[in-house]
Amino acid sequence: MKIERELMRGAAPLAVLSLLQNGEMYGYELVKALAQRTDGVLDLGQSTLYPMLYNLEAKGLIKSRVDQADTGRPRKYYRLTGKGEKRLARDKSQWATLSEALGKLGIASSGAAASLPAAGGGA
Amino acid sequence: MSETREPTFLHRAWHTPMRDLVRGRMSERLDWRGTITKAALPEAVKPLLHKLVRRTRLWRLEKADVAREMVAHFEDALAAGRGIDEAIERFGDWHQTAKLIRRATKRKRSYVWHAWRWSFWSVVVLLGLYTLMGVYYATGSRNIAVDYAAVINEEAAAVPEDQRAWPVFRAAMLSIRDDPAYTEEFEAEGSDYAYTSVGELIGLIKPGDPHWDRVDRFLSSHQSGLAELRRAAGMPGLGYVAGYYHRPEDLPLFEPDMSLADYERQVVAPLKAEFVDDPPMIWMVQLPHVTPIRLAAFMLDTDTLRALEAGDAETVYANLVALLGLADHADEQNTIINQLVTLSIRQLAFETLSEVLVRQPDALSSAQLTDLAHRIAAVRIYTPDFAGERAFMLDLIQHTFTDDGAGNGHLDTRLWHRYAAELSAAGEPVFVGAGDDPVFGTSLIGTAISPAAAMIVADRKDILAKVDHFYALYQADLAEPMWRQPESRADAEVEALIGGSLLQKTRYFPIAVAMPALGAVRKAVERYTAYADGALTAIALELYRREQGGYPDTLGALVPRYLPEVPIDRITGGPVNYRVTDGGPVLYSFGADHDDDNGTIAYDEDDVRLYAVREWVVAEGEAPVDGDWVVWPLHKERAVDNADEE
Repeated sequence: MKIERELMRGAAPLAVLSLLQNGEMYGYELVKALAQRTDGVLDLGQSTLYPMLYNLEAKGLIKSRVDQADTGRPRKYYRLTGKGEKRLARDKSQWATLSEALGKLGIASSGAAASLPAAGGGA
Repeated sequence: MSETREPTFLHRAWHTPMRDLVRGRMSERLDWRGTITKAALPEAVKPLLHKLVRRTRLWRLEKADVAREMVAHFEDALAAGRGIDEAIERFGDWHQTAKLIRRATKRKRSYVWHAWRWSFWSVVVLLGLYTLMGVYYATGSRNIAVDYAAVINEEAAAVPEDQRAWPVFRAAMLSIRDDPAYTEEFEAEGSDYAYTSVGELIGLIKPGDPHWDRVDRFLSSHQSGLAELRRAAGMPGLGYVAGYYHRPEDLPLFEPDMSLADYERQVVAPLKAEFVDDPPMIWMVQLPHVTPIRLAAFMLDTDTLRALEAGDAETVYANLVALLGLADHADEQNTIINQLVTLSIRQLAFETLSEVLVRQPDALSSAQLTDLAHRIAAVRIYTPDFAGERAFMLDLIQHTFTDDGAGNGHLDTRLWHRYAAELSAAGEPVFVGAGDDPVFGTSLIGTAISPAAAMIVADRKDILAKVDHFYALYQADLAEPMWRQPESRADAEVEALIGGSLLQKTRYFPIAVAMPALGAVRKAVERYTAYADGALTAIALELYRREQGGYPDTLGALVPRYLPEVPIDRITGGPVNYRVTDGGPVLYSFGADHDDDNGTIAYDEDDVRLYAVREWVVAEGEAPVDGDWVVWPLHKERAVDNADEE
């Protein structure tokens, strides 16, 4: 299912922060994880992912480092910063509240949103 | 791989950051093209990556980072088993991505860079606005609607041609002055004076001086010319219309050493050429006629003493009447220069009368004295008219401000340069602190800052209102006697503006630059009134003496038969003070110290009369001069007194 851009704009950064909660990841790894863990709902193209990563880095929510990949090529890894952790906690809480409210309206099943941020736990 | 050649040293150095170069490492980290080209990716994707990275228009180091990350991404996708077509397909909008990457990467840049960027764009925007402002202030047009030269010449021009005294006066002056004996130099040995010609002695010399005979002979030989001067003085109007250059018929009087052809070439032609570009301004109007009028007054003054010695009472009387007539001719133009000349000639008439009455009290008949008293009383109150001065300011404004048709406008920066330069050349400090280098000069700096200054400078209506306010204040000042209101309220306001903040001065700078401080005119008027009162009282005292056989004990005895009222001491506001000495009656003000010094004039150690006794306001921290201000007798007894009033 194609998600509207506006909805995606709010959810995708939270999803990326959530995935980085359990350790650093590189770009393609994030794309793959997002697609797999959301059953393709958050299947971000690179055109969305990389600008978003750079934005999150500019805001100080994530940090990158370059390391050698198995192939011997340099690869950039991203990890969550302290500021990013706080933002993630805050956004998760807000999403949960929103989801609960939507659930009461019969738009979303209560507790559905809460499962999204936990996605990183199963990676 | 299309790139198989080994890169050159220069290529490698060019693509290595300075930091690495300093450390001796040829890292080639900046070579983003090389990164893509050498990547183990299908050739189909490389042009897209080139395009993407190039379109980010980031710094080379940033492009290199993006290139490495994109290459890694595609390598990872391929390694994960995706086909290159699918990977390209899934990449999304390349163009949009480049834009987003650029935006996001720039956000990551340092605070210093962001601050610089903001500053840069702020400056660009401000410069743009400033340029627009400059264009605005360079637009609009002036409307030089009023010929203010004609305004100040109104009275002169109204005198019918055939009734003008000027041609008579000019011919008379030329007949006297063109006598070689007038300028012929002679030894001044034995004289108190350093003067060396009759022309220079006239107005200063008195009977008894070693050179008096020479002056006496000269004046005696020019009685017809002097009679013509008196005739001119008695005509109803002078009719000298002041212009920007002399009329040919006036040239012999004003520029005796210059031929008409030279004058036309050297003076008139350049001025006319200048007026083609821009109408002339009123400050270029010349008032050369007041100088020969003053000179004529000195001739009549000295001739009066000659006639007195010769027992020619009719000429004495006629000269005194003529002096008052000349004074009236001098202020046909209502500029302050004209009016001050008028006052000074009237004062000279009182001094001459003083000399006559002290030397030979019985020389003039009672009828002549009574007639003179009536003539003096008719002009006892002299109220200067500031309309001419106001015209100067209004003309400056109409030449330097645009006119929107509704009376408003803004400073015309294109033209202000020129007038500022002219003002500066004329010795006016165009901007406080600017010295000889006017801020609004014709320099590039002047051009660059003029829009800013024009923005600060008040608009036309505001300036006009301020000008009118000041002139109304000056006129109101004149209505208040100085013993009651010593300080000029108008001067105080003008000085507050000129001495105010730079912003205020800039806002009203046409006024700060060109508005004269006219407070001193009050003093000239007060002095004149005191001397006129002195002369009228002295005539009354002489008529009283003739009828009663002696001077009265008090001035009150003169009222009302000889004098309508006792004049006031113009410094204290009390009645003028009166004493009778061996030399006759003395009338005086107590002076600034407000105490009676028995009519004693104060002189300084150099024997110069201390006119501070006539000051109404004693400067803080200074003691008032110990002496009185004698308003009668008025003539000078000492040589040094002749430096007075100049």
